[in-house]
Amino acid sequence: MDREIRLTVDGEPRTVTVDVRTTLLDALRERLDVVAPKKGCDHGQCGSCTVLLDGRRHLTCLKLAVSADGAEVVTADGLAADGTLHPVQEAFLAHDAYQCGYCTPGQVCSAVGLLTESAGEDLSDDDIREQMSGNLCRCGAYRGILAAVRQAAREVRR
Amino acid sequence: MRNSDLAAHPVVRRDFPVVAEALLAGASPQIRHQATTGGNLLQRTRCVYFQDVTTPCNKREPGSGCAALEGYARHNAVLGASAACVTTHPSDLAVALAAVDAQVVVLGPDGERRVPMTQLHRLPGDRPADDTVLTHGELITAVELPGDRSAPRSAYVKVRDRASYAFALVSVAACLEVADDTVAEVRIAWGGVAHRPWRATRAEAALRGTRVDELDEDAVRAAADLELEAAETDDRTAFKVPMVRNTTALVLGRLIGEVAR
Repeated sequence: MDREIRLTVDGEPRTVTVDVRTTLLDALRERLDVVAPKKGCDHGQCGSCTVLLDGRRHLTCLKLAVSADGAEVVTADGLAADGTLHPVQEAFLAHDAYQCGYCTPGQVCSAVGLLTESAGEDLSDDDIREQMSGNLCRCGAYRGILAAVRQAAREVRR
Repeated sequence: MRNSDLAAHPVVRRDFPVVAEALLAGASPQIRHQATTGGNLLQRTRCVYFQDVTTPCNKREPGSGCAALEGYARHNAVLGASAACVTTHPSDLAVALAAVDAQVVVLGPDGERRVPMTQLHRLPGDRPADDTVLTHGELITAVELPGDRSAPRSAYVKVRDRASYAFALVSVAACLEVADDTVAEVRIAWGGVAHRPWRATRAEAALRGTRVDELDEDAVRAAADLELEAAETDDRTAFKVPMVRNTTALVLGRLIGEVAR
């Protein structure tokens, strides 16, 4: 069974007809050519498919596209405004918070979600580690990721 | 209700902190935004053999056998298991809800009924495919926390193979009420040890009425051991008995510490 859904993806209104069993990740990548969210494990363990869905971080591999009808999706591609990188993206660059880069779009979206959820409260390193635990990095760039999120959190508080 | 919203709810945080703590001990931030109360309670086991369709599993395919009897056993039960199934229920929330005596509201073809949280999940027996007492066509529509019996002095501690984003080896939810320097009420539920959240009623009975100044670690451990007399372990699962005993002592110790302050 197919159904037409509407999404706003990185600021653009998009319409697509999908089989009702299609995940949001597959709808984005395979149907809408939005490839910033990555398919790592495809069953909710790695976090590389993380996007902001109506402002909150979600795993698109565990979300049916039809259940996101009408939603606003922001991927790592949509975080930069007018050619200026998001503070989280700047911090990832500054701290070399990646190696191969495959998990990075998910890490960045998750970090942006964390900064929204924590609403400027002081995050300890342990808080950041716990709150970023849904995003795995098989290269093990966690030291850089921790430093980047710490810096971005500080900038957001200012 | 999303798990993250429930964990952040001011009434839950104030009156049932054990529920908020259990929710935040589960999964990852992303998944907590997507997971729901009813869905969490009805999640299936994480037993690796249930997931691996190339191996026998009586829960997935009744009558095929149980690969966990011989294989990877870190998440196996030590209480209430059967020859047909030795797995545990993975929910943290269910353990906390069992400790606070929550009620599950169920709607079915014959109308609405309420199931105590402690009765929702079954022990496996010879029908491990049935996780719960829900019958065909029934749906969880709500979970009720007892408004007349809040648990402001309550806590949840989960022991895992890694610090975060892992299922419990064992977990303990506990609520403590003290009156006149005596334990007026204590409720303890264990996770990671059985096919359902395990209310440690024998341990509770032993601790009720104890003077708070006598409620030290040894007293809690002795009470836990009364419950653990029924434990069945082998060399792969024996670690869970001291782990749940010690974790129970840790949680009760923390709650008693709050009384002292």
